[in-house]
Amino acid sequence: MNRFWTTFHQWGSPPTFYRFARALQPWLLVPAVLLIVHGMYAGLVLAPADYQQGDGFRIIYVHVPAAWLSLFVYTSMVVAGAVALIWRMKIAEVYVVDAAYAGAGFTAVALLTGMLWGKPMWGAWWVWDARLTSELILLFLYLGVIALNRALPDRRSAARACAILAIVGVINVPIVHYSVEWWNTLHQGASITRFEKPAMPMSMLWPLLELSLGSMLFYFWSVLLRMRGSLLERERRQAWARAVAADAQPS
Amino acid sequence: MGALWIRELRSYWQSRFEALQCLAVFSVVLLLFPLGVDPEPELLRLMAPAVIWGSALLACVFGLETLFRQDLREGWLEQAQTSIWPLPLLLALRMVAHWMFTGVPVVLAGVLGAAALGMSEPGIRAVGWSLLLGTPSLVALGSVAAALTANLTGGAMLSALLVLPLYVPVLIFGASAIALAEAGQGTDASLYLMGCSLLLSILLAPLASAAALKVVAE
Repeated sequence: MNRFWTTFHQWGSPPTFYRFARALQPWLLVPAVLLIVHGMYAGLVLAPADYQQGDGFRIIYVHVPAAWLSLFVYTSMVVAGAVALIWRMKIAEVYVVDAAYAGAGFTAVALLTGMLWGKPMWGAWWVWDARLTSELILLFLYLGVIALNRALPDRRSAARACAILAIVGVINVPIVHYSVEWWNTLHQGASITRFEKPAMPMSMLWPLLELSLGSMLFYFWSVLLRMRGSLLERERRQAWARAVAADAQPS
Repeated sequence: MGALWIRELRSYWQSRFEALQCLAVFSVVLLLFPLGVDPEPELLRLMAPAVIWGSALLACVFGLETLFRQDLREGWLEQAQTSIWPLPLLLALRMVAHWMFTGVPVVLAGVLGAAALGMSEPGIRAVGWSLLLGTPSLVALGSVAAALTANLTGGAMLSALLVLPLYVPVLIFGASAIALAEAGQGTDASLYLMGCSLLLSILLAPLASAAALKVVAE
C-alpha cells in the first residue's frame, strides 16, 4: 500500500509527469495517425454505401467518435476533478481545465456533423430532439467550465472551482438527458429515433471502431500537449521548468 | 441557531427593496412576451408555460447576484468558519431566507401573471404549485454558481452562463405541469419530479456551495 502511494505522489509531481507525458506522446500520436488514416480510407472508400442513406451515412465516421469522446471527456474531467478536490493533485487540476477545451471541440464537431447529416436526411439543420438538445447543453457546460477558469485569477483555485462545477454538472447530466427525453415524448411523440440501428455489416463497422480508437488516442496526445504547456506556465519559477525551457531554446 | 436565522431575515429585511427587484424583473420580462406577439388569447395561453418559467429563471438568475458577494467582502466567510455550526448549514439558512424574499413574491406574481395570460383555473393552480416547488431548486442550484463567482466583479453574466444549463430539468417539468393542466390532464407526475429535484438540490447544493466558497475565497 505504501508503495502505491509513493508511486501515486511521484506520478502526481509535475516534473515527473512532464517527462512521462513527453515520452508517452509519440506512442499515442503514431498509432492515432495510422488508425485515423486507415480508418478514413476504409470508411470513405472501401465501405459500401448504405442502401437507404447512400454515401451520406459516411459522416458517422466523424460524428460518432466525436460524440462518444464528448461524453468520455466530460466523465474523465469529473473523475479528475474529484481527485483534484480530494488529494489536491496538481496534475488532476491541470487536466480538468485542459480537457474542457478538447471536450468542447468534440462536442461542437458532433453537433456540426450532425447538422450537416440532418439537412439531407431529415430535411432540417436542427431538430428539437432529445439527443441533440442534451448535446447542446453539454456544450454549454463545457463553455461554462472554460469561462469560469478564465475568469478566476488564481490558477489553482480556478481549477478546483472548475472541478466543483464539473461534478455538479455531472449529477445534472442524466437528469437533463431524461428530462429532455420526456419533454420530447410528452409533446410530439418520438418523431425521430436517430437512425434505427440496422445491424452494421463488418465492412462498415470496422472503420468506425478504428476511427474511434484513433480519435481517442489523438485526444490523449493533444490533451497531454496542452497539459505540458500549462504545467510549464504554472511552474515557470521552478528549477525544472527553467531547465526545460533552457533546453528548448537554441543557444 | 435561532439568532443566526433572525440575523439572516433581518439582513434581507433591511435590503428588502433590492430583493423585490427580483419581482420587478419577473414582471417586466413577463410583460415583454405579450408585447412581442399578437396578444391573441389563444396564442398567449399556448405560450404561457414557457413565458412564466422563462421569466422565473431570469428573475432568479438576476437575484443570485446578491446572495454572497457583499458578505464575502465583509469577511463573513471567515467568521462563519469559526462558528460552531457547519458552513453548509449556514448556507442553507441563507438560501431559505433568500427564497423567502425573492422566490415567494415570484410565486405570487406568477399566479397573477397566469390569470393575466388568460389561463384556466387548473392551469393557474399548476402555475402556483410548480413555481412553489421549482423556485427553491432554482435558488439552491443557483447558489453553487453564485458561490463560484462570488469573488469576481461582474460575475453576474458568468454565473448566468454556469447555472442556466442546470436549470433545464426544472424548466421542463415546470412548464410541462402547466401545459398538462391546461390540456385538462393530471399534473402529479411532473410535480412529483419537481419535488424530487427540490429534495436533491436542497441536500446537495449547500455542500457544493460551501466547497465552492472555500475554494474561491482562498
